[in-house]
Amino acid sequence: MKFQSQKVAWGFFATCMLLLSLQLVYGFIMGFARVGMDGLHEWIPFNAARATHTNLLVMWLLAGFMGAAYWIIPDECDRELAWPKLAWVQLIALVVTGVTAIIGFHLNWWEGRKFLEIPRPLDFLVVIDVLLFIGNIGWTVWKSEKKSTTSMVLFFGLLAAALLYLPGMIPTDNQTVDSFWRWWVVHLWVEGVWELIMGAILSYLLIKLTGVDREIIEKWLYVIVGFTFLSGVLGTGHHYYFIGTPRYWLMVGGVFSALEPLAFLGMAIYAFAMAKKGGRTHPNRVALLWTIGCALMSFVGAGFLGFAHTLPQVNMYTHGTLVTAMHGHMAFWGAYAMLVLAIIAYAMPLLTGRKVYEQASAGFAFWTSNIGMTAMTLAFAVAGVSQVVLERRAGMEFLTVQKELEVHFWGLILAASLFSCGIIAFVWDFIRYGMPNAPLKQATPEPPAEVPPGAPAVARG
Amino acid sequence: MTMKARALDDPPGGVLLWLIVGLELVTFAIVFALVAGVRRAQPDEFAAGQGALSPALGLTLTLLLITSGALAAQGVHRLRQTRLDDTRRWLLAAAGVGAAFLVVKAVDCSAHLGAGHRLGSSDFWDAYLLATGFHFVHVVVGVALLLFVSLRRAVFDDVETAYAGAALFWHLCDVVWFFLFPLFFVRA
Repeated sequence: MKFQSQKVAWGFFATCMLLLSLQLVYGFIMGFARVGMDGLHEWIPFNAARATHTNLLVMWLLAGFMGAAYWIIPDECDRELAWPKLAWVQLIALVVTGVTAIIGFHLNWWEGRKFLEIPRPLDFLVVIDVLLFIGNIGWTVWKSEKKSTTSMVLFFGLLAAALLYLPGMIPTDNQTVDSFWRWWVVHLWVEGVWELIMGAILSYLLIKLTGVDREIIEKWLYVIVGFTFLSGVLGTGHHYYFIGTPRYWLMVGGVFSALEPLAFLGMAIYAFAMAKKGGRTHPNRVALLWTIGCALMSFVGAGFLGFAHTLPQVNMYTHGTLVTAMHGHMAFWGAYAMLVLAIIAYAMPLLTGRKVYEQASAGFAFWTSNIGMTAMTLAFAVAGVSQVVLERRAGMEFLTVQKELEVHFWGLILAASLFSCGIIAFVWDFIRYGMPNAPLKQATPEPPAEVPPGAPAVARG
Repeated sequence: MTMKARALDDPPGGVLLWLIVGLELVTFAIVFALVAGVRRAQPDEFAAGQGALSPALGLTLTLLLITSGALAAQGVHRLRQTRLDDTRRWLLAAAGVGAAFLVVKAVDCSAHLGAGHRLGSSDFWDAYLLATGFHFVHVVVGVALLLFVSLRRAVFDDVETAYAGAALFWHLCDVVWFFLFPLFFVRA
């Protein structure tokens, strides 16, 4: 760690750990509800659990991005954060808003709009909070003499994410029009501007962990992220199938979503190539595992499993079934959850000066959570395909089919237990790192990632 | 520049542009398949839509792009002889004819829209307006690239790569049109 103000990242990462743990609890509440064990129904009905589960995800990912920005921006800009105290205020405000929203869901104070359930008054608080955040990192970048590609892409990705929150607040009393704008937020975040944030964080991590030249990493990563971004914008069309929007969205969505896996494949191949080129000499190998894992699992979850039901001919059958849950779980895990866990795994040893990555539990957390999530995805896949066949092909009643699917939710609960073991190990490690010590000047300097002799330092192109 | 250095990681026009062109070709291949699918699945509707298209206009558009592509090819030919000033003139000429394509196509499009053929009118008009509209956007970018490299050559460290890259992208535009033209304008 080079600057005192980077310490604020720890607060955001700790928030991530807390919200992620809560997200798992709500996942289990729903899993058990699906097999008939719904004792909490009076207090936590399924709709409240569902809204809480997804909103916690969004909240902890945003907290993770903010923490990553507060860590990366001072490092890349080579100066202290503009207003470190404001960053703490902004964190507390974010947590208060989030907690209010989640308590609200349990008291039936919500908007009922999938993923954007938080009530309108809180929307304005979120906007103000994000403006404080953008202002803080924006001013830091602005005042810095050094403007690296990584910091600029990270900044503009975060700024665009903030701006794209606004379409979700356009008032309308038409369900289709509301969905149209709602997907601007949700889709253009996850398959648009969040990819810029992802590109910047991945590029930062690869530069630090592989020792490959910054120019090569930045150039190629942005080519690939650019492709993902370009196909993703018009790929919004795949959310407009059969919801009352004009028919041509079938064509637009079909063509551009079909391209999305290519870009994700490129990203995976690229991350592996860079890690191989760099020779993996950085001692924090677990952080590199999370980084490479992120590129690979986002291809499988977002690219491959997304493609599995993105064509209108297929989506006609799979729309609104558990097939979407299959894709959603691994896509969010691979692309964004693993990304945040990667930056935490990288930054924590530098924040605290303790090499917890040498512990066996760090590797255990990575492998167990990934195997667990893969198993969960398979359970959702089997349940989803069964649902499509029974409900959409055989024409059975919705609730009759849900009863038939119960057995798969036992499989899901088992897989989720395995996944949770990995996450518990990660969170436990996080707690064991402890808080950053007050004076950080004597913290261990970052070990250099050495390029092995004989590796080409610069490639043409 | 030796042949070896030109091999894979440094093609004429730059590796980035080749990747973009590759991705574009995949995209348009999917578009062609889609249009062919509509044509096959709804032959009557497709034929009705084609009735409203003017084959003479389609041929004019095609000839404009062929001419412009030939001019750009002449430019690349001069580039190989390292006659950069000549290249610049040929690329400017290509951009001029490309701009003529844009004008004719815009007139065609507004005529169809004026006649009530809009997005949502039928699968044929969805396909026609979206596919040729998507191509139109690429031609706009292509003309802009040709103009930019010819008029602002001073900003490029490597003018040869800039010229070759703009010409490469320009050929993407005409190659794609050669598939769109028969798909839409040739009648069953």
